[in-house]
Amino acid sequence: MSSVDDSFGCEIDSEFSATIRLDPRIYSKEAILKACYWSSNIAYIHIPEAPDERLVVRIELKQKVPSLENPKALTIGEFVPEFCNSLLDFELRRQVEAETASIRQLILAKAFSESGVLEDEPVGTVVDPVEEGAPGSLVQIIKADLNN
Amino acid sequence: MPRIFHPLEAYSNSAAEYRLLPFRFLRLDNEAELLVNEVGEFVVSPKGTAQALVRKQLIPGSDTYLTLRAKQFITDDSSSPLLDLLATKYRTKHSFIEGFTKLHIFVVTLRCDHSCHYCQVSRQTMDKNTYDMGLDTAEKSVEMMMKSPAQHLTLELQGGEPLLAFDVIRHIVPLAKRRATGLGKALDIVVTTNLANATDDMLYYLRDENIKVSTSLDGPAFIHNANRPRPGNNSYELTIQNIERARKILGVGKVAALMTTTQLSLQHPIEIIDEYVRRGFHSIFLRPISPYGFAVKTKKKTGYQIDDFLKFYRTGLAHIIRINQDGYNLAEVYAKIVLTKIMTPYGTGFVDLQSPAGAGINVLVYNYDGDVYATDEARMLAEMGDQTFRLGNVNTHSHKDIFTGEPFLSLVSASCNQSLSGCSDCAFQLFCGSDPVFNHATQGDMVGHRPPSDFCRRHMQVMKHLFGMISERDPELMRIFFAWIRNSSLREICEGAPS
Repeated sequence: MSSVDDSFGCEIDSEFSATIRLDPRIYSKEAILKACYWSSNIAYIHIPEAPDERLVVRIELKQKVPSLENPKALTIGEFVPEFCNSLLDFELRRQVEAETASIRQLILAKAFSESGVLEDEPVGTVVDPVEEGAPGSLVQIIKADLNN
Repeated sequence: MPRIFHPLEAYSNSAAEYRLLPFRFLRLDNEAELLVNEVGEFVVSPKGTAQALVRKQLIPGSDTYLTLRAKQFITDDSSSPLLDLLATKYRTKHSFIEGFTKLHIFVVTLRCDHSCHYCQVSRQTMDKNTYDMGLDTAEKSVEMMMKSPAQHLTLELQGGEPLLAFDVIRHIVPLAKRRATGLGKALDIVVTTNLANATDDMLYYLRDENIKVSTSLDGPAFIHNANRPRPGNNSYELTIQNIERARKILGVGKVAALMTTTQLSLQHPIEIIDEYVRRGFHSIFLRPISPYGFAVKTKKKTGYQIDDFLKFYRTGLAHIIRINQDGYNLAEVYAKIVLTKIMTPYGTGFVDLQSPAGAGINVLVYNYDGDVYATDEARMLAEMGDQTFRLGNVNTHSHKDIFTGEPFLSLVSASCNQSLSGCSDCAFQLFCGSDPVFNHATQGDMVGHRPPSDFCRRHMQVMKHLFGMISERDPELMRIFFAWIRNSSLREICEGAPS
C-alpha cells in the first residue's frame, strides 16, 4: 500500500510505515534529529542517504497490534502530522537558540560571577613589593603581629 | 483643499523591531502554548504565538507584545534587556545550590518489624543485630555531616525502623547538636518511623530534643493493612493510636505522615485523602512508588503503569481542591513544590526535583555500615547489589574523597537537565529536575532516554495539568495555590487580599 500525501510531503508506505522527504532549506538537521529523538519511543526512525538534496526520514511504528498497555495503537496517519508539527517546533527552537545563545551565556555568567563562583583569586599579593621589603614598614609590622 | 491626516496606524512601525530573549515553549493542547523564559516567567498563549514571536510578526503595542516585553521574552528600543535583573532571577532560582549538602540521612538500622511489600529499604528481620549502626561509625558520620558548608542542616534518622536502634539515636542527637552549635550551624532533626515501637519515654525524648516525626499512613485500614503487613495485621490501628499519642506528647505540628501508592491505592484516591482529613492532617503527598528495593521484587503487587498513577493523581488533586473550597486546609505536597517553582522567584529544597540533581549536592545518605550514598535510592540500589552510587565510607574516606571521587563526578556529569537530551529544549526545564539514579535504575544509563522515561512523563504530565489549571485564572483556585505555597490557610490569604 503506498500513497502520496502531498500536504505533508510524505509517502505512506504501509499501514505502519511512511517516508517523509524534507527540504533542508526549511528544516535543519538539528531540528530533524530532535524530532526523531522524541519519536524514538513509538517508532523506528531511519535517515538514509538520499540521492537528491532532500533529507529523507523513514518511519516505522513499533506497535502494530493493540496491547494491554496500549489498547488503541497509533496509526501512521495520526503519527505523521504530529511528527511534522514536532519538526516545526524544533526548527523554531533552533532559531530561538541561535538568536539568543550569546545573551543566554551572558545571563548565566553574570548569575554566577557575582557569587564569586567563576572568579579565581588574583595570583600573588596586592602589596607594594618595595614597601613589603623595607625594614620597619607597616607590612612587616603586620606580618610579625600575625605570626605571633 | 483641506489637508487629510493619515490614520494613526500610518505613524507606527510597520514591522515589529524587537530582539528575542532566551525562552522555551511547548504545546499544552490543540489550542494553547506555554512559553517560559530563562528565568521562569511564563505566558500561556494561543497556539501560534511562539511562531509569530520568532518570525517577528507580533504587532507592536498589542497586548501580547506588551506582555512578552514586560516578562522579558523580548526587548526593543524602548526597553533594556536588563541582564543584571535576569541574572539575579536566575541565581535566585538556583539558590538551593548554595551551601551544598543540607539533608543528611542516617540509616541507623536495617531492622524492622513490618513486611511492607513495597519496602524500598530492604529491611532485615528483627533478630539481626549486625544491621545496627555502630557508635564509632555514627560519630564519623556526624563529623562528615559537619564538613558540609551549609549553615542550616537537616538530620533525618531512618531505617528499617530507627526506633529499634534508639540507643544509636541517643548517641547521635546530642553529638550532632553539640557540633552544630560549635560551628554556628542550625540543625533540624526528623525521625521517619512507623511508631509501632514508640514508648512514651521515646516520645518524651523526641519532644525534649525538638525532633519531628514523619510516619506512614497509606490510607484507611483496608489499604494500610494490606500494604503494610505485620504480625497481628494491625498496622493501621497501631499507627492511628501512636499518631495520637505522639501528637499529645510532641504537639500536632511535629507529627507528619506520608503515604505510599500501590496498585490497591490507585483505585481509592478519595478514600485515602478523606482518611488524611479525618486524622487532622493538613498535607498529603501523592507520590508514586520508586523502582527500588523490595518494590522491584514485588512488582506484581506494587507496579503499575505511570498513566494509572497520573489518573489517580488528577482525581486526587481535584478532590483536594474541593476539600479546600469547603473550608479545610489541605495541601498536596507535590503540587505545592511545583507551584512554588512556577509562581515564585525561588527554587525549592526538594532534592528529587532539582537541576543539578540533588544527589550528593543537596542530600547524602550514611548507611548503618558507614557506606555513603548519593541518595536514599542509591542506597536501595546497593541493597539490590548495585554499588554504582556508593561514594565511599566514613571509616575510610574523607569529605574530599567523597566529593572528588569517580562515582560522584560521574553522577554530577549527568545531573544538569540544561544539558540533557530532551530536557535542554523543554519548556518545563526550570521547574523540573534530573535524576541520574532513577535513570540508571530503570534504563541502565545515568543520562537516560527521555521518551520512555517515567520520570519525564510523570513530571511533564503533572506540570501540564497544573499549568492548565493556572491558565483558567480562577481567583479562588489561585488563592488556594498561594495558601499552599505560603503554608497559610485560605482564610489568611483571603484576608490579606486587596478589596
